[in-house]
Amino acid sequence: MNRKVIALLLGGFSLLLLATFFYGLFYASDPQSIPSALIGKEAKNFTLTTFEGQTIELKQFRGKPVVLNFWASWCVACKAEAHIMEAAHQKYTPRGAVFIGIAFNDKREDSLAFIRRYGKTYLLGPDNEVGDISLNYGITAAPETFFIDEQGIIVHKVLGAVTPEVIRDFLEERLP
Amino acid sequence: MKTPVLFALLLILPAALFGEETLDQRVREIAHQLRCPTCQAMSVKESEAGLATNMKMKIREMLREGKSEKEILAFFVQRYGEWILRSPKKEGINLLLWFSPGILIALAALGLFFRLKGKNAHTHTTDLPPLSAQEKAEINQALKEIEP
Amino acid sequence: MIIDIGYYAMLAAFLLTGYAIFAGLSGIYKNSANLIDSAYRAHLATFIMVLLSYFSLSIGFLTSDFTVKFIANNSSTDLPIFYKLTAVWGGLEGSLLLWQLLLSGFTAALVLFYKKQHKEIMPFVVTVLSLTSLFLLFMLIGWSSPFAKMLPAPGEGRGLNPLLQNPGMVFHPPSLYLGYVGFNIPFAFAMGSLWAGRQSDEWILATRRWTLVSWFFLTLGMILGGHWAYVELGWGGYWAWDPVENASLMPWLTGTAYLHSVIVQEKRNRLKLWNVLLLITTFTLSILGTFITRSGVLNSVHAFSKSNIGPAFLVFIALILVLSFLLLYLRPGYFKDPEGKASIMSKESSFLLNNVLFLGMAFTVLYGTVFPLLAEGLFDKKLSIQAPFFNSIILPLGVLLIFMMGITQVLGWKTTTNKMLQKNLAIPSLTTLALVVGSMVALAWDWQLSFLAGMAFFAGWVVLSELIKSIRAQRLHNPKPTGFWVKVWQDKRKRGGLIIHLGVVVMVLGFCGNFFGYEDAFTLYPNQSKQIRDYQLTYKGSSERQVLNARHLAVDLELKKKGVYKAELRPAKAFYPTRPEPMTEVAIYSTLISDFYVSLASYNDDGSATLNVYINPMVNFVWASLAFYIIGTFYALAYRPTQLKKQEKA
Repeated sequence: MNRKVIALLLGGFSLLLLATFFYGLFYASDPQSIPSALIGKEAKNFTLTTFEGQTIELKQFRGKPVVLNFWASWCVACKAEAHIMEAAHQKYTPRGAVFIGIAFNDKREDSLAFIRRYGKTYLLGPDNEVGDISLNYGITAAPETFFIDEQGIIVHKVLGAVTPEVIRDFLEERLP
Repeated sequence: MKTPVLFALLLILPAALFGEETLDQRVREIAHQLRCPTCQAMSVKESEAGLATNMKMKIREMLREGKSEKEILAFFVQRYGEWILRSPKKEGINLLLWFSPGILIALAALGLFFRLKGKNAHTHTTDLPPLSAQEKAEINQALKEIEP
Repeated sequence: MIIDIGYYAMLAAFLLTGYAIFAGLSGIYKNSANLIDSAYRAHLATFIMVLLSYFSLSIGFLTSDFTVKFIANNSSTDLPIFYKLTAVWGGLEGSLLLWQLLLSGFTAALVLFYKKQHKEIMPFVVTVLSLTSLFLLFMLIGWSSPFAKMLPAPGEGRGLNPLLQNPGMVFHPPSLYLGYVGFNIPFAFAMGSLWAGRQSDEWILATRRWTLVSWFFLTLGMILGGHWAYVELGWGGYWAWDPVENASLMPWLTGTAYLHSVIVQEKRNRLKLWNVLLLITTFTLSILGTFITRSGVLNSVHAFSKSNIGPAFLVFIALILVLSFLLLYLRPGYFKDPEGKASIMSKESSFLLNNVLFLGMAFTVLYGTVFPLLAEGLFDKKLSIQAPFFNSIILPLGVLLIFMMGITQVLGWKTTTNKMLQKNLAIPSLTTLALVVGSMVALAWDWQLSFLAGMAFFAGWVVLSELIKSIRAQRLHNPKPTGFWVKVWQDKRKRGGLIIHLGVVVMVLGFCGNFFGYEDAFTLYPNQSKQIRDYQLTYKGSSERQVLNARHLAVDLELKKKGVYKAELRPAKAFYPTRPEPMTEVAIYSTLISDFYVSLASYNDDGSATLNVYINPMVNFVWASLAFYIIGTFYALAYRPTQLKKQEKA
């Protein structure tokens, strides 16, 4: 082979490799984070029996913006966001928003203790043993929060603890 | 002549092999193809994280309902994206992943073959080619050094 | 105080290396022996300084000096002394220091032992080596220094990661680094002699042993790593195609390719450019390995804390590639292979094909490892590429490679007669074909298994018969009775290679065992039993005890095989005072043929235990192959090429 051809091949291959790593270092998303395949899709309906015995269905809230939170008593970040969620609920539920918390992979008594400790008052209920609702929403870890608009479309998802700003940005434009 | 028989066998065998699988085994087989979202270096099968346990239960439930492996994998892909598969599907741009190593190796081997063949088509004899005078001298020299 | 000595010694080492490069370069271009000698002395002094700094860090660990961030993060007062000493390379910064220690040690050894023998090229070789030194020392003094302070000092360290508290993990990193640094030496020799403009191949003979030893340590490092994963991670296997494992496999593959192709250059004076390229690749991949595992560019099981070394390593890799290719480009005349003929049926050709396969594997591993980045960058798709992908591509390549391994043994240089081929291969290949087809038809084996086992059988047969031939031939040529050891210690190069290849066969047989594996997960209550194949497992009760610095909560299991008592197994959860989450301690009942492997998934509140049970047939063959590699490497090392003897006489 011609020496120019060899040089071109080797140089090209090396350059490609270096460029890939450069991209990986500075531009690629966090390798640990998993993109949700559900953004922009219709939120799947579910039926939930709350800890207080009330049976609710996601469908019945069509027309209202919904903040759907998956949590567990064993998760650390859930403690961090517990007050944020509750405060948002106090503020926005009277204005027409809906807050739902689904306890995932948790023992009933632990969930209840957690609710008491953090004074959570919105719609809270346990997922079943298999975790059907959670798996249906493609949960990767607790907590995870989905923002569902009036048409029942998932517009946004937050991995880890939510911030008051995210909830505000989502709800303010949708509520009167 | 033997090849067609061999291929026929290859086609029949999997059915014969996996005919009497237990439910547990089928769950494991499917779970092995899914990546655990919590401890990402492992498959759902190996992981003992809570979520992986849930996923295994879900797979079992779906198998009991008579869902096929394909349907179960599709269920998870729909919710978690293609990320969840430990071995990407053989379609679209993933073909680049699956086939470029093979094609490169085949090209290299072919190139090698023609190069070697082209250089010395005539040395393919049943006997050793005769040594040149220089080679003979080299050998004698080397022999002398080994056995003085 | 002692730590400060270490830091300043490191700084001195950096300056000394900088000086050595400067003095070496000026010495080379001014043709001044004094300057070159001065550079040599600076290299020796560098080694002493690095050694000093290594000792000071070790003392810091022994005395639990938690004012040092690295020590606070990787040690604790309750750590056993042995692990305190080895915790030095339990994190990135310390392992860079270990790497640098080995590198400057090897550089010093080259200066001491080779400077007369290879007088013309040594200044160049040492300068090439010290460029890597300079980079590592630069990282060590600033970018990721193991001596960085943490104030206020914590009262107790965070402890060494319990996963690393295992003998396999203790010796795995030094062994890999020995391999990496070892392959740096033939690279430096090749580059040095190119730079010096030397046409001769003296560097190949000079580095033959370095290459062998480095190959051995890379292999040892990977086997130790695999064994560590097997006994420590608790999922019943030893290789998961994790990016960290892939990173160590890639240089091994290209290094092994080089080990073969360099013989073609030594014997037939061919493949010159190819060999240099393989050295560049191997060296680059060994640096790339650290980049991949430590920069956080890809995620991985080992979950080393992400560090900021990524950009620096990337720049260094780019530098290596640019400088090496530039040198190759500027010395085009040095790679002319002699005109000549080699038939397809020759060792040369089979080595070339073997190289294609090794490189193909290395490419597949690299490609599969970085493809998620490509997919995201070019197509905005997030993909996972894990074990199932790698297995399905690498396994067929491996089958081909093992087949080649058998064929190559009977091929001669230049060409091989059909008669010879028939004589040596007809019976083994027909038998193998019968076995492969038979096992698939009669035993309904998976085709992958049939081919893998078949090729292992084929290669094993050919290698063994060559070994027997070597022993017989000697009896023919040497009819007078000689001592047993004299007979054993003959034909060393050939036998060394054959023994190592026999080890590969043994290892592949171990891989075949995977296809017969069994796994199950179940929950047992006290005094309950479970039948697993021939084994009967009974849950006797639970116990707690202190093992070194960890408290073990174990379940006591009794293992019987066909009613006969075999062993007491105690899989456990280990609680370390410095870690919130317990670690899994597996229990293994091991025989040569098969392992019975239990890990405790969870110990439940009601006294029951959930267990993961694996039966791993022939897994011990994989570890046993190490014995062959050790013996084979010894044989091959003992051989002295005749050219070298001639050189020494002259």
